[in-house]
Amino acid sequence: MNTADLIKELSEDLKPVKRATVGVKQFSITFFLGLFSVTAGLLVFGLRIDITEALFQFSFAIESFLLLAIAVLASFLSLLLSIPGGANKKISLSAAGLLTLWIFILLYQLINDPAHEAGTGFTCVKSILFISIIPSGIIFWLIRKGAPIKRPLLGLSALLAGASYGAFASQFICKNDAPLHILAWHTLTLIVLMIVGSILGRIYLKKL
Amino acid sequence: MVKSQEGDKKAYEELLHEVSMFLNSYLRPKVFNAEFLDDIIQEILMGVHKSRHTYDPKRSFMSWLLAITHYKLTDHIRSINKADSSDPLNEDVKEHQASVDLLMDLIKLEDETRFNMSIGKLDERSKQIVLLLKIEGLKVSEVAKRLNLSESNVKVICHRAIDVLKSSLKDKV
Repeated sequence: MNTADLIKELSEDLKPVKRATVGVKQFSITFFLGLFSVTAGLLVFGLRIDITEALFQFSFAIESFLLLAIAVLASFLSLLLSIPGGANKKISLSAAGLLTLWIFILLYQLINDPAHEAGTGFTCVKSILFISIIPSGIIFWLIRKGAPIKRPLLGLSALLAGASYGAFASQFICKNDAPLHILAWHTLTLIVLMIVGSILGRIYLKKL
Repeated sequence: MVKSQEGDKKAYEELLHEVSMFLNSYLRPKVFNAEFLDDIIQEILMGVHKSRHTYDPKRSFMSWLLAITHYKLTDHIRSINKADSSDPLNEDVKEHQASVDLLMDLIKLEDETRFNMSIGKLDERSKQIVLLLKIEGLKVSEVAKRLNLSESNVKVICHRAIDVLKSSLKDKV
């Protein structure tokens, strides 16, 4: 078939379409459902017993802020990636930068105070997984009608968003603030979920 | 594009014609093969058609179109490279075809009779395939169609025939 014939066929086949927009409404849905998921996680797993002391610790505040910021940026990035040409380098770099900063802070703390042990963290992994389901799921649902080009990156950022909400909530659930514990059980879970997201994006998001 | 999203067929047809003209001039310096160029343009037009609902009038149409273009171009090149490299027979056949070309050039200088004797050692089907591919210069798909065989079958038979020819001609040269 030559190009002119294809154009004729596509034009004859044309039907009106409903625009798939990415805007404040979609972002708000992901944000509020993310917070809802965090709240649900706190109710299920319970607040840490030393929460009042933790809230006044500088490292706690910084890490929590970073995780929430990563979750918000990753959600927004996922929505943008669902349309061709929607990828925003500034947002991608900001999310990556904040994630790197979080890991760097933990490594810095670990180097300066290596006496801590990783301890067990299966509850932490469970809580992160539980809390990440709704935000990541809603992102995949919102982008189902998109036309993503960078499918692995979209999958990665969708699960990064969910996992970051999970890790943020874990700050309020898990009383072990040891950097090695956070790196081994929180950070590693987040990284594994990012990899899984990348694979899911490649497999399940429809190719343009 | 906005009118196309509303279902205006005439506007859509005009848009696709303009897009294809733009793509022709944009991709020509990047894609030297005219057949590939046509294929890629058609792939991109299909991509535009499938994703027309994602175009936002508040954003630049060109950046939307170029995102689809670059994606399809990369995907197309990747699939061509995969097809060329993943099938080991392709590499072997190319290599063997190159050796047969060389041998045949040598034979033209030396002794055509010897070559005819070597090719006579092949069974009828193998001989036919080698002659059709090498002498008449037909494509694998054309030979497969003519002899009512699968393309992979043709490649395997050619591969074995060239091996036989090569060793036979080496003994004689």
